[in-house]
Formats: sequence, structure tokens, C-alpha cells
Amino acid sequence: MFNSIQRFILTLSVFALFSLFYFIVIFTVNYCISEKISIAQKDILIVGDSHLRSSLNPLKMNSAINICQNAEPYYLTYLKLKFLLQKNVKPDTLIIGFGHQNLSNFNDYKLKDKFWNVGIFDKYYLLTKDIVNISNIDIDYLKLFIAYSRNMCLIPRLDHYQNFIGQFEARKENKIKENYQKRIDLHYFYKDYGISDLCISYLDSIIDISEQNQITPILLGTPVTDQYYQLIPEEIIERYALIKAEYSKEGIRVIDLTRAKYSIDYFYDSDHLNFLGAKKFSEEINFLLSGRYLSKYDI
Amino acid sequence: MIFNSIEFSIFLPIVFFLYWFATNKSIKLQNLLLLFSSYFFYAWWDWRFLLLIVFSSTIDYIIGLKLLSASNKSKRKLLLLTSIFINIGFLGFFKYFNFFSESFSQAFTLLGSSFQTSRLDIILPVGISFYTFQTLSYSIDVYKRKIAPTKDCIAFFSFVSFFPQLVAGPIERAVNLLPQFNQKRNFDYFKAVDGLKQILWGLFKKVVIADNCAIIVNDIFANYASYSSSTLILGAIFFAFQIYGDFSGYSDIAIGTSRLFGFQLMQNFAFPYFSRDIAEFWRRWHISLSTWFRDYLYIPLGGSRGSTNKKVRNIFIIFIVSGFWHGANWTFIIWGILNAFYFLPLLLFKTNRDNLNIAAEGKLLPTIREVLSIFSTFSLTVFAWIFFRAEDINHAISYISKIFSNSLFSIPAIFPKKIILLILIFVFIEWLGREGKYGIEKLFLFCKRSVRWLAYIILVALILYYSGKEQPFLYFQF
Repeated sequence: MFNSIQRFILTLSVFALFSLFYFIVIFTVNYCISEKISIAQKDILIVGDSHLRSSLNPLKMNSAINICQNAEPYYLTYLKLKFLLQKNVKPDTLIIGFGHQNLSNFNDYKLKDKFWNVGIFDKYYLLTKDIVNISNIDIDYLKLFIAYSRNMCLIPRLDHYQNFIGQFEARKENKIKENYQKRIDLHYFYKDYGISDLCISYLDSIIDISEQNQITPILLGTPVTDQYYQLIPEEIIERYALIKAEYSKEGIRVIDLTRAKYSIDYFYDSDHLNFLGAKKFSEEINFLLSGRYLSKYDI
Repeated sequence: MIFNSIEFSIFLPIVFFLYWFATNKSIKLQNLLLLFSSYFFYAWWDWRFLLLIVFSSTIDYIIGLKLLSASNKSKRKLLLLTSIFINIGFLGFFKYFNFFSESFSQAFTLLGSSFQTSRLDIILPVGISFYTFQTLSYSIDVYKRKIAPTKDCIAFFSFVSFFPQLVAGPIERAVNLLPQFNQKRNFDYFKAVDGLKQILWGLFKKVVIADNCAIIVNDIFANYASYSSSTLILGAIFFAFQIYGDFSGYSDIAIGTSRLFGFQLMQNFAFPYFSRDIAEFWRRWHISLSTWFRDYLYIPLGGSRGSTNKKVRNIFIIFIVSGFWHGANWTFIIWGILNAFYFLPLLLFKTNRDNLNIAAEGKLLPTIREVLSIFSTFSLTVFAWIFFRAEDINHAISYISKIFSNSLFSIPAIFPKKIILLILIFVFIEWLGREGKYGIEKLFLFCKRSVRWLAYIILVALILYYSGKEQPFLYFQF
């Protein structure tokens, strides 16, 4: 009997070794593929989270690319930008999504909580080395390691950047009837209420790295519904206004359209534009950037 | 603990090594280890409900012994009824109390009077429908003297709670499984390797096929109003693969795991989507439950003997009960009734046993007639699954009405190419392996070892790649 079991264990061990060899080969292939990034060189680079992703259609603009990704906090935007700049991506303008939710401390949980991190690690695994170096944030290292291994060692892939880079997303459904409070709770009262100093400092870093690379940064706030805006905590609104004023003082252009009067038909939900809203918004931003139109929202 | 979890991947090797290296000298010790492992496996979900299994097992163990000593017919009957009453009582309370309570209330409202019933906040114990039926089969078989009652309480308790099949079957008969606990188990290399292969295939079905389909199905069924009918049809087809991958995948893992411990469980699925009529489908789908109902309900009711009315009645009873077994919702009952309607013409025209063999047996390709039969049976099944998946009757009816709207021939809004490709490969492998017990049983046997192993490694890689988005096993809720 023991011969039989020994044979079984031996077979399993050899199989495990073969599997390991396969994983190493696949990792090598994926590593080589991931080193070769090809992103179109455009004058305007659009970065941010789902708000700007669903609002700013680069096709309505002159030489622009939208690489926003859902739920992307500023620290990941910074790492992504740094990564792209190292790969010789050289825009002349950087449009950065700037909404109230970007300042909330729910962003600080995105690398720790299962609700967020599973999706995030699967998109940003190529930044693993940089992610582990972010200080003052809790990270689920096991999940990060699993996501990295899963995406790099199992099957050969050509699309390592597809999720990581992101793209403009025209939203066609209408979920405007959904509870506004639900979105507010998610954005501002996720676990506890607070402002993310980490995100604010990384926003500074994004501005700094842009300027170091001769890229003009522009902060851009997308419209939200009145009902949503009224429910945003006062402290967040005040801090948002303060940051806006500080950047303006430093000569950085801030276009805040969070309070722009967009009809309800232009919204996908309480705080995202749909494809109609995106069309209107993109055209307005294009006007603003081409200098032909000075909006009252342009400060 | 679920099979596709990290916890289980640690738990299984530990139990395996203890079983074959530490307790292999004594069957009693091995059974004791299996019992504790099974209770640990179950308690990982919620330890409080272990008491229910222990209580249920104790009742049937004692009733089995009492049946041995009782010679009086009425006393034997009373003992059997006690077992049925207690087991079905628990099942009824945990699973059906709120359903009956709400249905009574609604019925009174329809009649114009108000009758308020209270709703209990009860958690449904995982696997209660499965182990209740398993332990019931013991009492009934002892009563019918098909099996001698066991005096070995460890063996009996292990039989009721055997962890591979505890929470989602196959529902084993005491006649088949209990004697295996009293026999010496020898490790068999080939059976163990075969078991691992079956686990691998089961995980592929669950993680790669079912869980991927689940994401799309959940979206389509939740937002059906905003999708075209072609998308809704796709949603229903995806659900057919989800439920098959999920449930038969679980059964494959259960059977494969049992083989690692020297146990042989019954086959629970035999490639049901290649059935050429509904009768064949029901001989191939959830075989352990279908045969349970056949042996303990359908045949005692008279089966297909007697007048036409009696036959019709029996068919409806068995399908309605089968639907109701799945859950306390009218959708399951309608699903059962629908299947009864599908089955009835075959029974009445005596064609229900026309397709006892395997489709295109011994051949690679089916005939055109077989293709049409398989396609029509699959379509009927998919239609019935809509009721099975829907939240309630209104949801199902709205979903079906939307399917028959004017957007029937539009391009589906959701068309996940990768997943469709995976499903096609899966169906192809299942077709090639349909004469075996599971898809890949004989598939790579004639290839070189290197090719065979590469195929297994690719399966492992796909399973690991698609893991991380775990969906709960559908049949846990039943």
C-alpha cells in the first residue's frame, strides 16, 4: 500500500515541478510582453477615476487620450503617470480628474478592503513594485501577490495594459433613480468619515511630476447632480474649495464644473454623466482648452 | 468551507495525510478522522448548525436500531414515521416556514380578508436538503429490510456527514455508501489519480465555466428590462451552463475527493445537455435526486403502472415535489410543473425509454436527427431554467415576455467572446468524453504523458487564472 501512496506522492511532486516550469516560462513570456508598451502619443493625457472616464470623450478633442480608470485614487494615478513617463509618453497637457470624492478617505481603503482591492490589483499588478512602496496605507499583500502571479504566470497575455491604462467609457444606461444617499455613503462614509491626506499629497506629486516633465496640468471637476452635491459633507466641500484656490494661486488651471447646470437627462447616475452628457461636456472642455470660450467655471 | 477556496486546499491534504499515514491501521480511527474532519468542514460555515446534523443522525441511528428489534409491523411503521416526521419537520421549518406563512397570508388577501402572519428570520442550514434525504434513505431502507441497521455509530455518523458530499450531494443511499465505511480501504494509485483528474475537471466547470457565466447572468437577469430579447436568450443559455458547471462541477469534486479516500460515490450527472428528449435529460441530470424520488416517492405511488389518470398524477407529484425540494419559491414549483408537461407526452406515448443509450454512441458525430433532438431538448430546458433563475414569477414572466418582443433578431448587447469560446471548448470536450463518467476521464489517455500533463497544467492554469471572482455554489441554497 505504501508503495502505491509513495508513487502517488512522487507523481504529484513531479507534476508540481512540471507546473512550476510552465509557470516560469509563462512568466518570462508575459514579462517580455509587458515591457513593450505601446500607447499612442497624444498632446493631451486625461487621467482620473470613473467621473472623468465617463465624461471626457477624447475623440471630441484635438489629439487627446483618456486613460482614466474606475475607482482610481490619486496615488495610483501618480504611479501610472510615472510609469508612462518612464516609457517615453510625452503629452504637453495633463487633465486630472478633480472631484470631491477624490479627497475622501474611502480612497485609503482601496488596497486593503476586498470590496476594492480584488479589482484594483487585477488592473494595476504591473505597478506592484511601486505599490508596495506607498507609505501610510494598508495593503493586502497576499492579494496583491496572488493578483500579480495570476496575471503574470498562468496564461500568456497580450493585454496587460488594457485594464491598467483605461479608456473613455460611454455609459448608456440610466440609473439616476438609484438612491443618492447610497452613492454618498460609498464616497464619504465608507467606513468612517474623513479627508485623505494621502490622496491630497499624491495630487501634489502628480502636479510636481507634470511640471518637472514640462507638462501643463489642468484640474477638471465633472458635473454632479444637485441632489448629490447637497449631500456632500461640508468639510469636504470646504477643503475642495481651499485646494482649488491654492492651486489657482500657484497658476495651475482649475476648471470646476461640479456645479454646472446639466439637465438630469445628461446623467448616468447621481454623479456620472451618460453618453449625452459626455458629448456636451467634452465639447465644452474642448472650447475651453482652445481658448475660444471663457467659462464662469474656469478659475 | 467551499471546494474552490484556499482553506479547502489546505484542509484536504492534511486530512489525506492523516487518513493514509496516521490512522490507516484501523477502520474505526479512519472513520473517526472522517467524522471530525466532516464536522470541522461543516462548522467552518456555522458551527451551530452542526447540532442539527448530530441530532438528525442520532435520531436515525436510534430508529435504525429500534427497527432491528421491532417485529411488530405497526411499531415499525411508527418508527419510520417518527424518522420522516422529525427529518422533514426540520427541513420544513428551516426551508419552508416563511414560504407557507406568506402564501397563506397572500391567499387570504386574495379572498378579501386580511390574515397577517409573522415572518421568521431563519438562516437556511447549508446542505440540509441533502443530508436529510440521505439519512431518510437509511431509515426507509432499514424499514424495508433492504439494509441491516448499523450498530457502529461512528460509521453511521460519518456516513451522514461525509464531507465531500455533505452540503451539495450526490445524495448517497445507505445501501451504497454505508457498507463502504465498514470495509477496509486500500489506497489505489489509479483510483486516486482518476479522483484528482475528476476534481480538476470539476474545478474547471465551476471556476472557469460557471463563475464566468454567473457574472453575465446576474447582470442580464437583474437588468433584463434594458436588454434586447437576443441578449435575454443569451442570458438564459448562459444560466444553463452556469447551473450545469456549478452543480455538476461540485459533484465531480465530491466524487473525486471521495476516491482519494477510497470511497466510490454514485455518478450524479451524465452529460445531460446531450439528451435527445426530456426523459433522457432527467435520467442524466442530478441522478442521485431523481433516483431518490423515483425509489421513495414515484414507485410507492404506483409509478407508471395503473390508469392514465394515475400516471399523470404521479408525474405531476414527482416533478412538483422535485421543484419544491429546490427551494421555497413558486418559481421552482412552476419549473417542476413545466418539466412535468415536457415529460408527460413521452410517458403517455410510451417513448420515454426510447433513448437509453448515449447520443451517437461509438461515433464522433451525431446524425442530423440527433442534433435536432438535442437542440430541441436543450431549448426546452433553457426555457424552464428561466423560472428556476428568476427572483419570482413576475420576474420570470416579464423576462419571457421581453424575449418575445420585436428585438428577437437584434445583435446581443452582451457578447463575451472569450467566455463563449471557453464554453464551446468545454462542450466539445464533454462531447468527446460523453461515454465516460466525466469529461476528461478518457480524453488524454492515449496521448504521450508530456502532452497529457501539459493539458492538465493548462487546466490548472485556467482554474487559477479565473479564480478570485468566486461565486457561491448555487446548490448550497438548496
